[in-house]
Amino acid sequence: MSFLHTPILRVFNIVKRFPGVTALNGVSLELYQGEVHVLLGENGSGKSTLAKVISGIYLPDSGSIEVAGRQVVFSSPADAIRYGIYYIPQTPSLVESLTVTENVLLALRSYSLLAGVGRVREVVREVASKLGTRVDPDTKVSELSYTQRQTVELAKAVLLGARILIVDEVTTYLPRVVREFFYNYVRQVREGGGSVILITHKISEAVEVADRITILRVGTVVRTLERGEFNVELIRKLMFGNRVTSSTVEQPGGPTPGGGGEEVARLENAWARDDSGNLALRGVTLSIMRGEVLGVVGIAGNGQRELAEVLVGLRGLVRGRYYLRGADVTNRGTGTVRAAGVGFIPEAPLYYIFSGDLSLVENVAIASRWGPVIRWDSLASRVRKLVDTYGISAASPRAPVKTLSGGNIMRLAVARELELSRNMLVAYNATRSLDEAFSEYFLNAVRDLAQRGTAVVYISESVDEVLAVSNRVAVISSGRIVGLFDREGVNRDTVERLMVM
Amino acid sequence: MSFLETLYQTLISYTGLLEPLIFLAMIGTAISIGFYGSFWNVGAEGQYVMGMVGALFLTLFSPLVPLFEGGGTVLTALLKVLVVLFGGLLGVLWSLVPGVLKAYVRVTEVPVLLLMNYVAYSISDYLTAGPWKGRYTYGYIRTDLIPEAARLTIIPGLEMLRYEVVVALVLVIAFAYVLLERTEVGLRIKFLGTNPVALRASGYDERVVTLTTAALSGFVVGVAGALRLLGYDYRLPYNIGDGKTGFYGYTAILVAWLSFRDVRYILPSALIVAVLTSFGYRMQMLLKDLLPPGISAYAISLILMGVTLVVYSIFRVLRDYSMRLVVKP
Amino acid sequence: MSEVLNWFTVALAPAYAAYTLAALGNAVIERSGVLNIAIDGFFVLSSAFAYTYAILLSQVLGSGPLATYIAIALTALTTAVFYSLFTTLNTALPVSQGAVGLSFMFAGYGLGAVVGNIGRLVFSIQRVRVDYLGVTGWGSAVAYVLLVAVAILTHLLLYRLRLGVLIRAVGEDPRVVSQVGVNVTHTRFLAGLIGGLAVGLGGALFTLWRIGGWSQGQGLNHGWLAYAISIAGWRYPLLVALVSVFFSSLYVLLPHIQRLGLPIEISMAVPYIVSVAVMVLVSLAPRRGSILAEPRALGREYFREERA
Repeated sequence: MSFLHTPILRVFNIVKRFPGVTALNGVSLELYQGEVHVLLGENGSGKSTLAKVISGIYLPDSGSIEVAGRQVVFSSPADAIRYGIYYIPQTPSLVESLTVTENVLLALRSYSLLAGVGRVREVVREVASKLGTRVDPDTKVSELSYTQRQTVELAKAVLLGARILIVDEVTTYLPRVVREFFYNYVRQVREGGGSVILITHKISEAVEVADRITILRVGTVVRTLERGEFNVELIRKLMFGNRVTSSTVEQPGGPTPGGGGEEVARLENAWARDDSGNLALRGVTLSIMRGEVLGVVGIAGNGQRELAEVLVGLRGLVRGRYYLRGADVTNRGTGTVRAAGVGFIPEAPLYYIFSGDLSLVENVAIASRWGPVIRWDSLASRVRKLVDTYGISAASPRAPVKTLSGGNIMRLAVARELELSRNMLVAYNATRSLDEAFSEYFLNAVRDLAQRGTAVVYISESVDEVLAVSNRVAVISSGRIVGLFDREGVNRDTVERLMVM
Repeated sequence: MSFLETLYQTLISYTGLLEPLIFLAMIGTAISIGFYGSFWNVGAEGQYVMGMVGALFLTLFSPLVPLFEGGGTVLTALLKVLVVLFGGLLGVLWSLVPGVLKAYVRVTEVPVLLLMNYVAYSISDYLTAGPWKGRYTYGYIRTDLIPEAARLTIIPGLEMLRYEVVVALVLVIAFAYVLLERTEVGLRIKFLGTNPVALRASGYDERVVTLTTAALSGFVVGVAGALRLLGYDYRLPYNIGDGKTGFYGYTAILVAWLSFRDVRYILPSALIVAVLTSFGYRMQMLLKDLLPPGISAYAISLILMGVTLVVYSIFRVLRDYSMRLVVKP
Repeated sequence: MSEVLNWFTVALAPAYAAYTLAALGNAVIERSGVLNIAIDGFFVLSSAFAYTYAILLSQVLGSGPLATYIAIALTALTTAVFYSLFTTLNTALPVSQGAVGLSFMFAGYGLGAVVGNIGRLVFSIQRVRVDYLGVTGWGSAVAYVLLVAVAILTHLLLYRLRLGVLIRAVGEDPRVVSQVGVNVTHTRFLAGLIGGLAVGLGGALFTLWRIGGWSQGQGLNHGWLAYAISIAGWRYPLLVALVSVFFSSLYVLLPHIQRLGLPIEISMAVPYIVSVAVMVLVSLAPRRGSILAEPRALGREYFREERA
């Protein structure tokens, strides 16, 4: 392959900051025609942010993007698509209640607004079979499996004539057979003169398909390797820097010893619907013991969210029972559950547990039972203490929560909820917007909490994290618990294989 | 007389302004409480009429007045308090219907509240023309006057004011302030208005809080209606929906909005709206030979309301969010 | 028999036309995820515009059906412009849909009063005659055919054309839709434009056909009656046109049925009570996941830039 001609895509010195974090700190990258370029890095290294900048979802704070030598500015995904750049995120961007055809038609800008749905149906069928799968164009997306949904995404990319395809962690958890199918498609794109940016955090996968690998660490490019230079040990060193980590699975502190064995919570054959009315939990039975961390892991959208909501009482069950410390709390709502000493640390605190328009003090007050009259002064001093203890940077305890950075909001959530977790803590993708240092702190805090006798349900998409923190690991797929193991009795491969079942 | 003269006259005739000012402030406070909890109380007009209906019922058609009549100041005061509270209860009844429908059936409250305003007019008119039709009305369709004992006390020198109304206004504003700034119920209402999911996740049933919000808002409006009847109207007129309420229930929405939902700004905003509406009425009288009767204070205040709301919304956005400009090469 | 026929041709047609068109417009707007609590204001506004346009046009073009028809078309266009502004602001501003909706509702009431009175002012000076639409058997028959056609067109628009798919998609999940390159604000702008045309037509026919004149506050609450019909038809065009036959009849008849034994004052309020009852009953019916389900993004604020 010759890289002598101008790159098809060139990003130069991209900086992207979010409140409190610099996600990309001067990243440059060149993509040539016909290559598969892997972006490799740990969670939080900036891979997805870079992909979103290239595909017009985020606007960079500075830096430039060139497509085939011409400088461009993408202020929306539509702009990027016009240049043939198509982004497939880990969670497919499909509207659940629409059919496959309708979802494809949505994205096809070449069709006029008055184009008929019927015209696309046959095209969809054709492309799907060319890709080697059969998907009924009239099925609603909500009825499709994860793999089928990603196939629809690929079909969209084909129909849009994508020249640069960005695949974000899509293949990471897929079974080998399906992955092969994706690689097959990736090769087709390459042979047709297109280029692929494939994002992953798995070294083995990178080495398997890449023409070149660019390694990212904390928002900067460490190095770009050519095919001849691939070497797992080298890559590992570049990815993790000087940290003495030989494998991503190794946990920093080791799992906590098992608890006293008293059962805190139990779900019995729990069925629940998601917001669109589809069954998201299909007969989950779980028992959570005092003093243990029960990890629940799965690919996004397999019922984790609903499980977390059921456990804190936000979502009712359509069938089955939920017991807390022996009492039946099925469909009793959050009041009963919270009164039983259950804490909740979710991925999007501004959606789930905080009001961004109200102050830190008010957001702490709402969760603590003060009686009818609130004494703001004593509350404010308590909040000041929390702010100090957890290193939250906020202008004042009276500042609206939305003025805090994402990481600080998360810290406030941890601060408030750890105190409330007298008997159980439900954590749901909690480390998503935490920086590395505080993530570590948080994982330690979770282990401490369990050691002091609280039951912890740790729901996450990250296998590494779950393996690091849990005493027992449950794998969730399509709303079912497909595997339940003691930490000692399971390895990463087993978990990942079950995740895509 | 010129435009400016009219404006000047409006401003100096403070007694004419005081009465709308007080009622707009009271109802505006009630609507603000609703706004805090995202309960868009556009049904204050109906709750106000129901407050009047309740007050009239208790004073004219219950044995309450004879029971308390002539019993000294304490007993008459008690009588008035009871009547006003009853008016408040009818206001609650009227606001709880949309409240329950919103909380438990997920029906948008706005149309229900508005339509119920007309149902309230209908009920009042039906009672006025039917069962409650007065005997001493000189051929008019209206109810009899309520007994002297139940009427509020005119403040000497300020003919448009009543002692009880002033006290009630102070109490209402103080109540709203304490409720929203000092109590847990108020905090729940604020969470309901800003993030109902967070309210629920904190262990509260947002349906109950919705009902609480609706009830508190309706109660205060009902109280205002009862005070109106006891202090000013003394009877129910027929065709009450023809502007005989002063449309306070509608114009007070503007008051609530102008106050930036802050109870401390209720009085100044009520003053602005009172000036605007009475200015509108004066202009209308002044120009009545020139203009068709339609371009009324009513129309003017509605336009003001709409435009103010739109402008206010835009300003709020500009204040809260910094916009980013992208320059394409 | 002839009485029934007479009822459908003469008495019902104008009301049915006005309510059904407004309800169909509402279906399009709410399917795009914009909570249409401004509908009553817009209905009032369009019925005022229809009157004033008709007066002005009759003065310019002379009295006759031409002026009336052009007035209807102009009213529809004007309402469409206002409505597209409404749906656009509702999407572009991170302000609650309740606040924006109320603002436009009141602005519509107030502006309607001004616009209508301008027409009346001109009328009081010039005394032009407006050729209001008459009620004839044939005219009504044509109207019914046209209304069914509009309902079918709305259905085709929403369920058979790419534009309709876009409209429904932004009503379901605007965030995802924007990720695949669709501009949510543009789509809702178009939904407002199309829905506004229908609401405007409804308001125009209300004034120029059903009432045949204008007075202060005309159309007030009738927007809500149309809203209730739209909800009763689950915002599904064909169903809306169908249930509208029943509800329009109720709205027309109820205030006049003395046999119900209701006092006149109460019977005036019966249509409103019926509307509320309809909204309640429809909301009670379970229909999650079906084509009749409420759009998931309905009434929710839409933020563009956020970190996933």
